[in-house]
Amino acid sequence: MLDPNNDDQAYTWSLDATVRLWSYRAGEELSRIVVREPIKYMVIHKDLGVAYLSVQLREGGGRVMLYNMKTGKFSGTAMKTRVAGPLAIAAAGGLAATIDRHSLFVWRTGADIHQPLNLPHTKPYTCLALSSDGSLLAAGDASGRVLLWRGLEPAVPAALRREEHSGKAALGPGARPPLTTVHWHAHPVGCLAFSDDGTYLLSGGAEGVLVLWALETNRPNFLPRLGGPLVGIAPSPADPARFLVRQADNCVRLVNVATMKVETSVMGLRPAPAGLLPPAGVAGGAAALLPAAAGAAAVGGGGGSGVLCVPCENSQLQFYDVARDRHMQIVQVSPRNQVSLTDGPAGGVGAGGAPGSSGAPAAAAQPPPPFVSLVAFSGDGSVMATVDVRPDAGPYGSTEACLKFWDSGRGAGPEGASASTSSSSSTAPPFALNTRVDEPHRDYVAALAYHPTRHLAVTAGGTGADSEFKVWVQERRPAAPGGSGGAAAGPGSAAAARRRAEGATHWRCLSTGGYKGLPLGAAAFSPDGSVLAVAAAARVTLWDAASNALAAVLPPAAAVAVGGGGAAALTQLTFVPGTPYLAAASPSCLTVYNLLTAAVHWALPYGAVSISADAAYGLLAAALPAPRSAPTAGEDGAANGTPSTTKPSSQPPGVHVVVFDPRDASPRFHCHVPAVRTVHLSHLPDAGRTSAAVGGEAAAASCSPLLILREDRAYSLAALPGTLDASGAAADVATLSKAQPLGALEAAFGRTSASGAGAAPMDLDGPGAGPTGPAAAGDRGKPRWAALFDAPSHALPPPAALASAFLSLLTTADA
Amino acid sequence: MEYEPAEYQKLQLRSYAPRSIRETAEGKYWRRFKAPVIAKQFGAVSHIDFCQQYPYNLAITASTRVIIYNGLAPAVVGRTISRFKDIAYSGCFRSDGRLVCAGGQDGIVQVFDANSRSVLRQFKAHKRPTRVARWGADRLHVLSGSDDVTVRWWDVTSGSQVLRLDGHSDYVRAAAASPASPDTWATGGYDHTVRLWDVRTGGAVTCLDHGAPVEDVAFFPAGSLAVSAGGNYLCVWDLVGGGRLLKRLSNFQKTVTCVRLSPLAGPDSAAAPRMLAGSLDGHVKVFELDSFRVTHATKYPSPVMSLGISPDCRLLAVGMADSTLSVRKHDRPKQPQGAAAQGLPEPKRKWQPRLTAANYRYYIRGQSTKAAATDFRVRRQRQAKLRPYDKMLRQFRYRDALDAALAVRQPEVVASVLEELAARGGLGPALGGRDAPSLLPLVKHLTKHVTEPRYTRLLAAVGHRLLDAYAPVVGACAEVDAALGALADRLAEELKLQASLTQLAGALEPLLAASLAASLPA
Repeated sequence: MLDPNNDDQAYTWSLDATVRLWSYRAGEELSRIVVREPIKYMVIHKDLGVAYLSVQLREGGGRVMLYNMKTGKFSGTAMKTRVAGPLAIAAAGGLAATIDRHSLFVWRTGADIHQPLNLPHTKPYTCLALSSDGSLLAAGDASGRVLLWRGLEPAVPAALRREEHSGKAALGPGARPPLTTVHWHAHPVGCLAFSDDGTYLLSGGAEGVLVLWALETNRPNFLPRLGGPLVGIAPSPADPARFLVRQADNCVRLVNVATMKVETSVMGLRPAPAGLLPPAGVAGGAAALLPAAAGAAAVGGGGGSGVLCVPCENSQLQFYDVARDRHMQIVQVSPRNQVSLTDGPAGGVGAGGAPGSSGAPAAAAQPPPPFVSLVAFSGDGSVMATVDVRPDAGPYGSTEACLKFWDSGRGAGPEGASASTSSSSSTAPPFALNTRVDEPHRDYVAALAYHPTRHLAVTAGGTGADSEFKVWVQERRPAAPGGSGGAAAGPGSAAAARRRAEGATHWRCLSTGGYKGLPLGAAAFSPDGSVLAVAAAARVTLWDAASNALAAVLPPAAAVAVGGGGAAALTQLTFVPGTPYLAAASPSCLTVYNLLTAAVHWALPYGAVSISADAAYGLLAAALPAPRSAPTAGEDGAANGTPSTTKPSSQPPGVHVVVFDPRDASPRFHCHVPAVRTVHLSHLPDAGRTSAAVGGEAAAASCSPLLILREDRAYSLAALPGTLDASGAAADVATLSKAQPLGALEAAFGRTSASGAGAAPMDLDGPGAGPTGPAAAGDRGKPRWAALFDAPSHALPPPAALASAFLSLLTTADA
Repeated sequence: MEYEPAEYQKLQLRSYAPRSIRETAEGKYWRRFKAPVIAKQFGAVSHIDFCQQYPYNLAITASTRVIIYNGLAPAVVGRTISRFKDIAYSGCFRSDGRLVCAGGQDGIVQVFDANSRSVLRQFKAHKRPTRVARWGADRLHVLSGSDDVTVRWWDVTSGSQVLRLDGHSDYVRAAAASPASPDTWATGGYDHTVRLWDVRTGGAVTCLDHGAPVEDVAFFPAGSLAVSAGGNYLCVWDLVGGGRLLKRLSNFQKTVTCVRLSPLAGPDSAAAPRMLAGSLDGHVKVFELDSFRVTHATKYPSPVMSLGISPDCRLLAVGMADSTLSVRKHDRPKQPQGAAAQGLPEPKRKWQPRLTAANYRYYIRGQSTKAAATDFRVRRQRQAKLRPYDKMLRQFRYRDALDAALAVRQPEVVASVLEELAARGGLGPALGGRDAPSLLPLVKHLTKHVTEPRYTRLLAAVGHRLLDAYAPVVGACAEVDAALGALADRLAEELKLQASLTQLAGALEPLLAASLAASLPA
């Protein structure tokens, strides 16, 4: 939040038990207050110069503490709560309040903590707000009601706090302040805020509707369909009609309540779709990188590489420029309204509340919201193939998959590369639906792969003996179609007319195949497009991509690698470009096959959650979940060593990302991603390869930048030191919006840079972004320049070329 | 930065792959020929001809008369030309619509005035019945073909025979003028041949062997292809390629009696020449000419003898052997272009009264005034029109949304709403809490559509949910019980059908395998 005394400074507080004061003009930390316990909430009283901190004790329970900012001391007493609840303070300073499950405490502000007034309620409170003059107090509860107290100042005791237990000193019924209850929300109230003059109350919740209550009449007014659950509302100090609305989908919107319009939206990388994970065998990593050439232009961003395409809630696909850390586009894969799902039978029906829902049958488990499970792009980025999953009418959480092929809405003509084109280009959808295939496989679709050169895609899926793969091919219709149009219909009329003019294309199934009724789990095309590899349970079947004839079957890897353990089904296949190797990942084993001998080249008895091949250098990156007990034994012999990773058992132990050389199974680079279960790896096309900075480096010791996308949608760019330019090197951006302090400064100046004040508190790795940051080559033991010469002499570039890189590494400070 | 619009997105109706040609745009177009006008004639309708000029009158030949119907009012009995002593054949309009020529059982070819019906010329040379008479493109000549195996070329002005074309060895039953050259004619006869004539030289150019008695001949609009009907098939000939047989279309069970080409039929999205053919098996089939596939088929109650389609594709007339004429009108006719559009009347101007203060409209005048180009336009906010089920979905009234969808009575709408409800998790509230009157339409819908393969998966799941919810109250209402019984019967019937189909497939499988093994080279 903004420093009340200085517009250029802002306070942040975080779970690492510190409060920091930043100057966001200079982008640097000014001072730091260290509290012993993680801080959940903080408010500042401007006149008194005190701050109330709501801290969550590590051993359980919460405290509201008072910190005097002038003297830099904490007050002697603290208010004890069961959980650290949010705080509210009246801007004029009379009162402060917090909530603690079923209790709401209001107290007078002062140099010490006063005796609070307890306002109990039958439902748990979820949020609260105090009007600026302190005359109005609003609190939302879990049933969606908003409780309003007016003129409660006289009822608040004036005494200082005496004993530890605050709630005991309840006042008699006669002294209780008058209460008004308004109810619109169907879900728990997410956030509340009063307008500056106290005539309006804004509330929001999981419905994605901003409700504006006129407090004179208690009549609601709505701004619906904001696209995601609302988690915070902050008024703008400059304009009383403007509010910042914080959404759970990592988006901040500037809302003008006078016109009831959204004026600006700032989006980050959206969170992963909630709901059930895809069925067993599906890697679930639907994230894909757009092909560098045409992709960036298609979604309206500047040229260059690194456009990440990730699925988010409500069957949307978000295109995100990881290089610039900028949201680019959202494509709605299935045209639906964003609705908050109904609760169970007890929770009523939807936000509208249909009457008489008591006769409803006992609903099964909450159906998963629709989401895109797989996405693939053609080599030139002109065609996108998606598989989206949505719940079925079946009673047991069954789902139905739908395969869709999309044409790029634009030609290959590059858009303007400047950032301002984003708004203009957002009017036209970047992709137009071409063909829709319902239920391409029985039950679910496990894999989707696109041919690197031809317009050919393959899907694999189905359960049991019905498991098969299908090859889909793009066909060009004659210019005058015979009228027997398929199920497809492109939405845009202009695009449809254009396609008609040039002879419309459509997709159809060319052939199907299966192998011994084994479940097919993954599919991949070789880089030249001649071989199709399909994983059948623990084996890999190789097919001729053109004729769909079975070429070879590679044996299951587990039998070769470790005698026992059972052969788990493969979940991912990757050809390593430039080498005759095929990598296969399964929950129990990472295997590399040599395609020339059709045999296992080497195998690692550790399950890999994600693998990626480096096209430029012929390397293989694998994400191996760290075992819970100890550092992995298999990597001990590795030349680069492994930093020991013993973590508290409460968190998942994290994932090791290791870059292998597929030729000899030697790990080249390593880094550790803590506290996640899965990551998604993909190699960025190496932009730095052409730049002069790395011109002299040895190719054998190099590696393309590796994008590590965590399950909470934080991503890291792991690169060799020096391959990215120094300022933007290895931007580690935690994109969770939860702890990003939202203050009026953003209303006035827009969002600060994500790598600055905003992201730091939530950075789970602690300040400095150590492990996931630049930590590519894990050569902590030896000087960094050693990597330069870690290559056979015949592969080393001439000394003249090496010298500059060597010097630059020597002269720059060690990270 | 961007902000996605917060408008309610309408429910997108699920579009399924067309089940048959009926569901394509083409099928929809041809099914729009509605409201048949049935006119009973005195004998089999042997020929139908449309005038090329507005209002596209049609001349039908039945028994001893040629009847001219007004193209704008085909229901009204038209002018009858009954100056025939015996059966009349092949009543044909001249291209300007003023004269009509017809052959007859007595061999005389007559030319009539289409308005006054008076006989203008009589050509008497044929010894046997003259089954075919056609106007030349120059409007001054008539070609006639007769059962005396000759084809004759008459000059209307002088009333004399110009040419006698010999070559057919059996009855001549069909003739057509080439649209490419006015001097080229094609005739077909019962000697299984189609002959091309040049009336300048008076000799046969080509002889094409159809393989069966030829009943009708037609040229394609460009003139480079011709089609002949005879036997139970059609033959498409490439005339430019020296009379090569391009395609043989065996889509009929019985003799194909008539074939017509319409240059601009079909839906607007794919308007192109279409071929229509009628057969004694009572079918009229429409072919598209790219791949010669049947795009539409209509069944008529009796053998089809003749058919015609008006140049603006508004009327489709079919004459049958049981002496009925059926004229169907398309409800969205096209505007004719080119030469056919010449006779089109000017659109009538509405009479507008002089506005005075005695008229209320005087006080609201100017409200529909168009803005000038220089005026600043304020765009009116468009109100999105929502269907009832969309309105209910928008208000989260799931049960009402399902009721509204059921009231639309379109299974696609119901399926889309059910899928949307399932995706929103609102299927339970939508299905639950119903009383007997509101449960009945749902059960009836299930009964009607649960066996259609495209809805089976969805509706079976819905049915399971429904039965789970309402099993305790079965027996409370007789109507609901009856509906549930009907559903059970329908399912039992379907299961029986599936079982017998499975048996049939099992019986066929060895046969197919054996034939496949035999056909494969060892």
